[in-house]
Amino acid sequence: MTGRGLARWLAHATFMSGAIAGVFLMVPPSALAVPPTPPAPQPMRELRFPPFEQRTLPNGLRVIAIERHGEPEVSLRLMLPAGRLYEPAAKAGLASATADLLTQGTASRSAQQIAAAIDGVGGTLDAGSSADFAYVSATVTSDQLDLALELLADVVLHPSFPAAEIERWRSQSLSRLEVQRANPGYLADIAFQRLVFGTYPYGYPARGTPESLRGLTRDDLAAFHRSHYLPNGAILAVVGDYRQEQALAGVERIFGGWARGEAPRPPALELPAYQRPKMVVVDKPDAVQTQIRVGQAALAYTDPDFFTATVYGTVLGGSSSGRLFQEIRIKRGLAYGAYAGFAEQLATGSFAARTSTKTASTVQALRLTLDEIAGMAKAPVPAAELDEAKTYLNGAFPLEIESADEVATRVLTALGYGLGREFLDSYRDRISAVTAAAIQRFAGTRIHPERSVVVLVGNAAAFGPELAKELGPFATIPAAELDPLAPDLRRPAAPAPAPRPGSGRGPGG
Amino acid sequence: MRSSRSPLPFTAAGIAGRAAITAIATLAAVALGAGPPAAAAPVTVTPPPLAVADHRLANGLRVLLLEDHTLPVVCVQVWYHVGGKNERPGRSGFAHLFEHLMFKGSAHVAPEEHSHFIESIGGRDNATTDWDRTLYFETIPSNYLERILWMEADRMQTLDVSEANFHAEREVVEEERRLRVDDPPFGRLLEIVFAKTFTTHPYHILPIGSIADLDAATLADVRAFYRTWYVPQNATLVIAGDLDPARTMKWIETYFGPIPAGPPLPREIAPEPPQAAERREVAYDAKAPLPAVILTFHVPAAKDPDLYPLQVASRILSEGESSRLYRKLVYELQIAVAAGGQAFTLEDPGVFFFFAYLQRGQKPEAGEAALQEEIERLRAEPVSSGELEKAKNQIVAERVFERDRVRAKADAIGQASVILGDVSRVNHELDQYQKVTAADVQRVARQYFTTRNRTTVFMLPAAMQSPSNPPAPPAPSPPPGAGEAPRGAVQGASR
Repeated sequence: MTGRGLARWLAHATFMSGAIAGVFLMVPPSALAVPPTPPAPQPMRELRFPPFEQRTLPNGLRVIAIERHGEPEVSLRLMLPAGRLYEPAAKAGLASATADLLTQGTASRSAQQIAAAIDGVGGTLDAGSSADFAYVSATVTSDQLDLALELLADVVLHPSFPAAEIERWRSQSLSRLEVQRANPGYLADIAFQRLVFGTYPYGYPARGTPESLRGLTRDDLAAFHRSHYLPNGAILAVVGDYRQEQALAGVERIFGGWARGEAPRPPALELPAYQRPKMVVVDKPDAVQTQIRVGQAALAYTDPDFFTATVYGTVLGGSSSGRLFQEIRIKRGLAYGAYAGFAEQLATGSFAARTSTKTASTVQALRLTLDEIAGMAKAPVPAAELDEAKTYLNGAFPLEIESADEVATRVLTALGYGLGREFLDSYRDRISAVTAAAIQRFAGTRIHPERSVVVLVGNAAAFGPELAKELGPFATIPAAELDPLAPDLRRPAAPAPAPRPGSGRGPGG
Repeated sequence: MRSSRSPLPFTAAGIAGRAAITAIATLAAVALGAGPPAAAAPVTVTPPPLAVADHRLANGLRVLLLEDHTLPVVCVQVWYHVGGKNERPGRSGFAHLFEHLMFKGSAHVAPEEHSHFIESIGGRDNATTDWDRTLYFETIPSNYLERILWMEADRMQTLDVSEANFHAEREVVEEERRLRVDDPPFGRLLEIVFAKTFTTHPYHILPIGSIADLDAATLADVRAFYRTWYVPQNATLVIAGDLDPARTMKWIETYFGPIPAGPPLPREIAPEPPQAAERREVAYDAKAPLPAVILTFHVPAAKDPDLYPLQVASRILSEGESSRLYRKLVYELQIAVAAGGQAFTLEDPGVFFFFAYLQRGQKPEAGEAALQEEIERLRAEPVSSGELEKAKNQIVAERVFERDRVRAKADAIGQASVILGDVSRVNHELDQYQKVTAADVQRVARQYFTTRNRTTVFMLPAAMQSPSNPPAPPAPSPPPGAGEAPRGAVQGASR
């Protein structure tokens, strides 16, 4: 949601400054060809999610086959319960390291050979991880399906984690973290996440910290792979232009020998219980802007209230029509953007409102954010505003499933979280069914402003006194000392300097 | 811009437009890619042909419709056949400034309402300007198609060009120029290269224009530009997706049909004379973090069949870590952090670029020599069958993958019709690529990559400029040949 929000922000960035002034029309009104009243929309068209076939191999691998004959392409996407939810303590970044290195060498192919094989046919092969899952995906023209299946199986079943590739990955990741730590938005996100989820695995940065990355060994990666990359628990989607029987035969041949194991279980959910708002300021004395995050742990993706939460988030801060954007940006010009939303996660996701404002208006923007959140519980959302939010959500949904890989991702996400295909088929109906009363009930019973986490990253000396006076006490952490691995998020000053990335490579290269 | 692969890690200033905050291809991103050549199996699939219905209204508006009911989504594009090359001397940046003004409201649509409305229904919209055309597009839930046609017709006829809008938006555009051209690393490289490569043809100037020209523009200029170019006879409406052709045509007739065709279009453009001798330029720039070497060669217009082998050559030279220029300059010689070569296809005859971003401290002459060595190799011997196969496979696969989206289909249809002048080319292009032989690639390399047709630009960090390293053209000195760019043109663009 953040990424899309940001894209929207940027997309609108260049045309916000125009003054609305005297109208000069190029054609006298009497000669206008275009009728003055805009035509009403037609009824919303039916969205048929493509039908799919499910099969479970004897080793437990679930296979989803979706035939789509528009373009001669096939997308494969394998999803495994191997996200950071399963990371042992102090190994932050292990799940993403394991996924990143899958494509960097197998028992029979070097990283270069893997890249050459997929590039030679113009295809793509990617691996990565999220909070709950790891994934490996490949897209090829339909005549290259066998090659894609073979490469995908090779990197998932037989990664060799070559030492040289691990070191190359480590130095790139460290320099990327170094760049990220200069970004106040990143600091705000990792501090917020850590305060909301405590020491539960969701609390740590997805790509680790400099300290945790330095500690990861080849054995860590191999062990995580051995215990988490199992056919039972994994789902493979095959989407595109192929004959189902042929593809399923190929899948069985290539993945049939994958040995099952004991499926990993997520740790029991334990979260910090705040009795009053937990407010932390990450101090960056040179900042001219303050990054603001407000929120709390909210609900799992599978929660029956998920659709209500989605509409709630859209009304409050889903787009430039949202209340936060209207109040903070449009009416007062305090920020470039202001958004709110829910993270889709297995154990539980966070609710977060985010904005950034110039230092002098820090407390005002925070106040407005808190007021808008509180306001959601005080009165039902007016009918027109509710309709607008639903129109937005139902209109955006089909635009997000245009490509074969987007379809595969949607299906896997729903099934991976244990939701049936009716989740996809009925998505728009269920959004449409959310009532103003349900949103008000949700706001009053499931969002708890009195126990929320507030993170501000900025020049503490400039806004600290006003903040304390208006909203009470807060803790301060100097930006250089912010460490999500430390019990109180703060490491001793003057840490060892980060090693320089290898020479001859560009930043992040 | 038309290709998602940027030939140079410059910002897309002047190519992509107002709101297309195109990702800057960083040095690192350019350097990433594939492994060594492998014997890949040929990709033999072809995308199904696009059945485009081609209409023309009485007022000259071209309408191209493609039905595709995969999803309840439709992409609407309005192509105005006007870009940087149609601007009058001293009025650069107009087409692009205009693109911004198109979002400032019309008779029945308030300022900013266009984009706000599209966002509110879950859609996406944007616009881009290049040298040849200005393109407005929106991807929306298909039940709003009539509404969007009404909005596009409204701004085609009744744009609100008020003094206040004009001044406010001009400032935005000037900020955009600073953001994309004047500030970023290598931001001015493309500007300098085009200024040196083209002497007569208006491709000489980037579509973003100059601050001086933008400042000199008057409201009367802007209104004249609108009346001249934003007319049905200069527009192509492309709609792809979930549509009913008969009903859609009825709406188009209703909303666009009554708009007057407009006066005759002043299309004359002075052609670029054949280059008589090599040109060279050295620019020192505080925003250049590393030495950059660019070689350009004039190549034919986008619709010329020679562009097929040139595009294949571009892949072989630049695509991934197994590409020739990467292996030579980055991997073997280790003098560059990124290197490549790519055809920049334009409606009128365009350019083929070779570029190298050198490691700190490397001499530009070394980069030039290494690039030239690879150019000589391309001229001297045919490319290998493995390289040829891989390049074709990548071109086919890229086309197949992108056609998943209605917007990419509309892009391809509009490009074929407006820039290539023949909408049917959208369905024949891949056959032409499949026919390219190693001999074709060698032939075009010999024909176009000649010394006489070459322009060499070094853009060096300002720190390299010292008394012992004066800002003079490097050896060999440029022979003062006919068609030479006036030096003032480039210096005028430098600061």
